[in-house]
Amino acid sequence: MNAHTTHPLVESYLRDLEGLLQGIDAGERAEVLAGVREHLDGALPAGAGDDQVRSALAELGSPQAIADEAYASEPRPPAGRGPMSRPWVPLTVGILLGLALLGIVLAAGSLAAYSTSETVGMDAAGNEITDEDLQFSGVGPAGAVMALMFTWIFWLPATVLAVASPLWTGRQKVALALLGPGSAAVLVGLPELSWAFARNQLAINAAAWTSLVLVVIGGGWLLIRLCRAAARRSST
Amino acid sequence: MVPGDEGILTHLRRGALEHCVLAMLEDEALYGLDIARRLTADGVLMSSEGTLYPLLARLRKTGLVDTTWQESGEGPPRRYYSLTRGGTESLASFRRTWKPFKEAVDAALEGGTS
Repeated sequence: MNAHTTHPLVESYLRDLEGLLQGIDAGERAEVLAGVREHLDGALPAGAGDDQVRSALAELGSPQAIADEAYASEPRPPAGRGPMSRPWVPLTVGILLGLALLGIVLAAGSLAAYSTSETVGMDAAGNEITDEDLQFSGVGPAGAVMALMFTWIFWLPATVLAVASPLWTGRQKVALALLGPGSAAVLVGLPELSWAFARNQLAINAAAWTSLVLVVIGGGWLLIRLCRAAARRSST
Repeated sequence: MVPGDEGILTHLRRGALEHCVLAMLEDEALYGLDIARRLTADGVLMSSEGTLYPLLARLRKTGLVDTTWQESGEGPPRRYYSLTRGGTESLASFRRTWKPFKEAVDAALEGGTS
């Protein structure tokens, strides 16, 4: 008689598998787990060593592969059904996030201004002294927060919609959710950084324009791409 | 095998593999490990043994196979899988459609190269 296999590697494998199978019917889950356990009981002699157990588990394949097969048979509604996968979802998310980007650009642009003031004074003899003094009124993290607060009415509902809709993958949802905050951070952060490293007008200007191009072209491109892909996956 | 081949195989196995299992059970009842070993022998029908168990659970749920417990000489009782009437019919139906399907695919592939 070979005893019930209780090797720690087997137990941890079965625990992983059980965790991954939480989404399927309890009876089916128990049956799959019992089948795999019995398979290992049969494949492994009593008192099998670590290497033997590892090779038996390798032949079984990863718990994820087994779970994928289990879910492949579930009649799960494919993407493209349900109210959150209608075409209006990507359209709304696209428009709202587009407006949010625009708002963030305008807010960050109006908040972060630099000025070159010439400090003018008179010396004792009455001669005018001019001192080129570059002032950069960076807005710092508070500026990013303000830009986001001005535009929350656009990006917040868009983020909620994107997260709730099955039309986007997890990574795409993260990208959409970070688009607003990320843009604000870039718009505020790049000029700040350039000011910190190179205290001159040119550097600030270059950084400001770069951040603008990044946000408008890069962010816009990402947004359009994600929303068009989701629109193709959506159904009426 | 070229890496991309595995993806195509995964698609092709769907639908065909469960009927291969049914065909194995046609003459005799088998237990899981035995079915798994036969299916993975060539690495074409199944790449990892574990995926057999969700498939068997599905076949039982849809009433195509039935399980019975049988004592085994050297271990705990084993769960043996056997064909039900529904399973036999499903297998016959697959056999009828498979041949023309296979020939049509072959013909299409031949046609593509000439």
